[in-house]
Amino acid sequence: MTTKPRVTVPSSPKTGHLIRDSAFGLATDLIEPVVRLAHLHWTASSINPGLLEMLRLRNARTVNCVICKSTRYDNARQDGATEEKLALVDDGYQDSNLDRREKLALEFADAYLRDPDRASPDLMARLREEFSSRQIGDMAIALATFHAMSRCAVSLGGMPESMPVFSISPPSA
Amino acid sequence: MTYNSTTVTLGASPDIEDAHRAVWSALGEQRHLPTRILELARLRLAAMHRAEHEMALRSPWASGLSEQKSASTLAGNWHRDKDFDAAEKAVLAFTEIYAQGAEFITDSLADDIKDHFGNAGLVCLIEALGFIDARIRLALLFNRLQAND
Repeated sequence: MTTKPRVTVPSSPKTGHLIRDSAFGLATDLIEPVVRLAHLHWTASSINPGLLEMLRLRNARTVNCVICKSTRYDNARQDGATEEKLALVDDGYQDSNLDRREKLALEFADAYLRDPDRASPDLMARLREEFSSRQIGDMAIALATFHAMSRCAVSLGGMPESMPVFSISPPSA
Repeated sequence: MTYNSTTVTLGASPDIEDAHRAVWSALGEQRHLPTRILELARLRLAAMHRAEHEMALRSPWASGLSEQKSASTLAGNWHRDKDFDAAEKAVLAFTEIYAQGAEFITDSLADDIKDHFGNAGLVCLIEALGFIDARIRLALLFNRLQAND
């Protein structure tokens, strides 16, 4: 993984928007739909921010995106996603004191991230005991977006070897 | 219903489902990369996932792309196929490494893309691969889960 950025982001004009001002902004024909999707996960989802944050971090730790792993969304923290709880979103979570709903969501994430064609045959039935169809769909698209965006971040280079945890607000529209 | 990347529907909140679809539509309309190039990348990702329904699909992006080239891409024979130009080979080389892990992409692979399509083309390709791969994964996952539902 290279710490050298592979594209140069124009230094101006800046919009003050985290995604628009990043390398993503160079692909001008894609930026607006991507920003809208990233925004809606945190504002229009039937899944609470704390659980979304757990899915996001499960992806970040699987992809090993250093920036994604260090990011915390403030609304998720307000929703109970404490550092103690997020530390459990790691291998071995099935034996942790996370609740059944959280463990199921992480199992769903792992099915998506690892080998989606080999998901446990009874996973959907177990998901339906805890989540509505809409919630399952919202989790699926959130995972897909988190995974795509974190792999973009790694692919673009400029990834630090490590960085401290920092808190930000979810992407605005 | 058996899903592929163009048909996968997830029953998500309407705004989110629409926004997800809008990203897909934007990939087909953007001006940074020819869509036939994205079709080659989609086919290569499909083959690397062994996603049979995806491999059988010829998307609207395929306009002007011969079936022989599609087949060569699916089979992984593009390296030695003289019908592929340097830009197509650069994109397919990048795609194959991306599929194995974004951390394995080299500066040389990225530079090859920039030589053909510039910085915006590289960013567009990286975003496209992310969202194409995502829809292939979603189709595979929901085909599997709903088969047992």
